[in-house]
Amino acid sequence: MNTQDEHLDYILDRCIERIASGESVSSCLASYPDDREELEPLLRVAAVTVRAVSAVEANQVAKARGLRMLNDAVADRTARRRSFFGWLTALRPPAAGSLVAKPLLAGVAVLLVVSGLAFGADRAAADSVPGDPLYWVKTSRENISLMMPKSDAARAQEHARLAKERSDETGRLVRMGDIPAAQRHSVTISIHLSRSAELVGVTMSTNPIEMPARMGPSARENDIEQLRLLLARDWQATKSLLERQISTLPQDQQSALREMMLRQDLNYRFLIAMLDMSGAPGWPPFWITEPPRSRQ
Amino acid sequence: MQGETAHAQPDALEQLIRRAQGGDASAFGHLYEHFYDKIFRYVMFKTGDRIDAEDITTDVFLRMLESIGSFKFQGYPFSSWLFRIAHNLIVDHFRRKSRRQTAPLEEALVVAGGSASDMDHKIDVDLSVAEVYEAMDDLTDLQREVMSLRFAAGLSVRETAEAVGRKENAVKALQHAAIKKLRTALNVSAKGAAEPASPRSRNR
Repeated sequence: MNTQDEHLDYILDRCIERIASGESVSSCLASYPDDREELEPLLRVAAVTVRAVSAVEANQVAKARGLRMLNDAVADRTARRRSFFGWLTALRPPAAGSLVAKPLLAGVAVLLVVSGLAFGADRAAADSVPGDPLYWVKTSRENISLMMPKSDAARAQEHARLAKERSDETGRLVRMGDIPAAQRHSVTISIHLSRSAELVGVTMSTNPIEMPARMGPSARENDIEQLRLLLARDWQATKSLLERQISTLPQDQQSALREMMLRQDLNYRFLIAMLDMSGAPGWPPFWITEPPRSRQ
Repeated sequence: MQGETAHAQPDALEQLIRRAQGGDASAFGHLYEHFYDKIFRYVMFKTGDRIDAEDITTDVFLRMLESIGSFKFQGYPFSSWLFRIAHNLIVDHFRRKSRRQTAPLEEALVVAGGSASDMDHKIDVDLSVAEVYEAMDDLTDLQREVMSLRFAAGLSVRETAEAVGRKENAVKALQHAAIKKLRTALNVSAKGAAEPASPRSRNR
């Protein structure tokens, strides 16, 4: 790109900002008389676009409905946090990210889990689902396990196992008839799958905008194959379970569960296919592999 | 189009985000009010369907609630993070749909005619959102994303650059190229005579 192009990029951008804040095309052109000929048609288009887009207004009823849903979700989350070990939540600082807070919380978490084990809470928590008081015990134990030092391959398998665990929980929520909760919870399956993939060097995205420039660590073929087999087995088991559940649901809930199942099917199949292709010529096929950019 | 700083001081916004991270319910409400219209316009511009746009916009904030704890203040603007969520949900939306909605945009989208006689206004009322929206079909995915974030969402160049993972200069160049292509598609002449673009199918 030459200097003239960069100059025009710059003044075009300045003028777009001015037009967006209410100035006319003519007044912008007056500021750049030397570039008027090239700039004018572009600014006309920019003005048309700004005006057209600003004509789109949100429906206030829909906006208020969305706010109610958000408030309900916030209240629901707060209630869940306070339902058990509320005093622990109170210990949490606003950002929960200070150097002191994390070890403190981790220490408390370890104590709680150890105590929980002693009283059988851990066993009772094994079948818990989101919203249950003991669910916290279960996820804390998982988090502690993930914090333990281990290889990337072992960690990848652990995330794959947790994806299966989340799938099972989703199945339990479906059995309880709470389809919206199951749909919300199914998002966590994708998170574990993505993390698992990253740990063996695979970025699960077909869209560079969605997930730009991420390089995963290298992994051995054997680790990738083990993970692939684990995922294929887990998904087959989960899929069979969900298919059985679909037939037991009322008609209106069947489509919601089917859609959720299709999404998970896509996630698993995509990851398995990526693992299959790992190392093949032309790999990686889907994403841009730029070096990570430094942040200012 | 000044980005986050246009409506709230960065410090105030940061305070709001930190309060939300701490579980303050009212902070979520303020963030919702602050970002709703921008997110809605962006989603509307990308989906072309008001009902879908309303649903997706609501989902963006529910997803924000789930993930706000993971947002870190490391030079990455919150708005870019939020629009990344919106973008991902739109991608999911189109994945779920085998093809894009082809129903015409609602009448509410059409720019109302006015009585002003100046040339700028005349051109503007000659074209509707639907025409601009259709003309966007000629852009590349990245150009369309930049235009949506800059024009519909009102993000600054920096926020847009962070959201799409490009440098600021690259965003300006993409914006320039996109406007050139739109000019051809919309048939806007230098003196402002605009002819309606011919209807085309939308199959993004």
